[in-house]
Amino acid sequence: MQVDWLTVTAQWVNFLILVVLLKRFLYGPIVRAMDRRQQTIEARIADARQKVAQAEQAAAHYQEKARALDEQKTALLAEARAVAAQERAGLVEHARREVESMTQRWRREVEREKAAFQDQLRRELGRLVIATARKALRDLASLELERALTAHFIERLQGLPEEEKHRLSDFGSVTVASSADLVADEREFLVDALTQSLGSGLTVNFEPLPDSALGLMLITPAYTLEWHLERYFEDLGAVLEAALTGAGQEGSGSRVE
Amino acid sequence: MQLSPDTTVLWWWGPIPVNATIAFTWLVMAVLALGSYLITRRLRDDVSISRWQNLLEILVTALRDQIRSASRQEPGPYLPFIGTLFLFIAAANLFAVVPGYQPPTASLSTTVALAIAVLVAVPLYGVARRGLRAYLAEYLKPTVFMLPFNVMGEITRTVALAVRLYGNMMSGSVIGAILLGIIPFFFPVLLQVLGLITGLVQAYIFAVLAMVYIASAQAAQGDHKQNDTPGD
Repeated sequence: MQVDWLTVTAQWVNFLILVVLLKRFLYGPIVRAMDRRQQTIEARIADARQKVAQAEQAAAHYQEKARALDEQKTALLAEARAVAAQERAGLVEHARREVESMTQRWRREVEREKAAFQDQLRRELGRLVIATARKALRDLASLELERALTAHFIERLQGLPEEEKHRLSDFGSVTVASSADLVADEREFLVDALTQSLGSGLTVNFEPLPDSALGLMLITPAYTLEWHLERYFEDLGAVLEAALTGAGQEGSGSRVE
Repeated sequence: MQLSPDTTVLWWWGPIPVNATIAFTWLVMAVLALGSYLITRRLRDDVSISRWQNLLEILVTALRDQIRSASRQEPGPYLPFIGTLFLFIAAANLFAVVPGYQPPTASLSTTVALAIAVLVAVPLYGVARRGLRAYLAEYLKPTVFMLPFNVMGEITRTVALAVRLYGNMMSGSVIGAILLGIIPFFFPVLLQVLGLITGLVQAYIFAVLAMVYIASAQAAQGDHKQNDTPGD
């Protein structure tokens, strides 16, 4: 067991050289590389954490947005439903009004048609009644009827109050309008009767009365005395209409037993 | 039979004899330095690395962990010294499987040189960390009369470190040579395998002991652990 001090020195130097070499080629590069990798990994982890945080934030943001959209959708849907219900109610109301208006219009139409029919019926009835009456009267006594009318008229004239007689005679002339063509003696009879009632010196003119079937008129500018058959027919028409209307109303409300 | 490779002089370099110890040390140094250079010249910071870089990183990480656990300090300043001790001794021992190779660690001169390196490193690291005055004050504790014993402790500790490594490595070679003479086949192979394990263990023990010495010399006041060295 020897210690060769030359070798010891050489080995000592060798060892120091090896320390320097390994520090230069092994520890330094490896430790630096590991540190760099560590830093890279830490940076990546930090980056990943940041990205995760960003992603979470974005997810929260989108969830919030989705929730807001959902709420908005619900609100819009509710609003749309309300509007639709309102619209439907409006349409229903409109349709109801239209139906009501159509019903009213229809009723008015019916009423009008009914009135027209009643009117026509009345006219026709009146016409028929009058035609029948006229025919009956003519058949019975055509000439006698004119004479009876003249007599009745003169009777009425005579029965007038004095004041009205004066109003008839004030102008000095009267016009006699007759539905029938008066014969000469009838005219004479009439002139006599007028003169007797209203005073002498009265001019009497004769003219036809085309609108009437049977009638006689005494006309002055201030006063008119008349009698004609149409007046009776008008009264008869009024009575008929009253009777028909009453019968219609009763008929609509009555029950057949 | 030669007990030390120091006596095998391979050639003369002028007046200086280049023996097997020095020559094989250069070989180990060349392999280590060249291998490190070849691997580390193309290092990558990426997550995918070459298998050789991976091997070196595992090695360096293990060294740093060992230094950290032995010294309870950051391994940065100690890694080159302690790491080189371990790598050199381990490589020098492991190459023993190569026929014709004589491990330099089987030479007492080498182990003495390494022990002297530790002897020098201990005060250097202590002074660098605590300052000259605080370091020297440690030798005067607990009393000034303990100074000779403290100094003697430093020296004997270094000698023990040197002799331990030398004895283990030399005995491995000597026992291998003796058994080769008695049982020429098979058994020396098993012993060689055992020798590889012993070599690695010795490298580990030497490096860790050096770290413990350095760390204990830097221990805080009142934490005096000189001569408190575990045996092997």
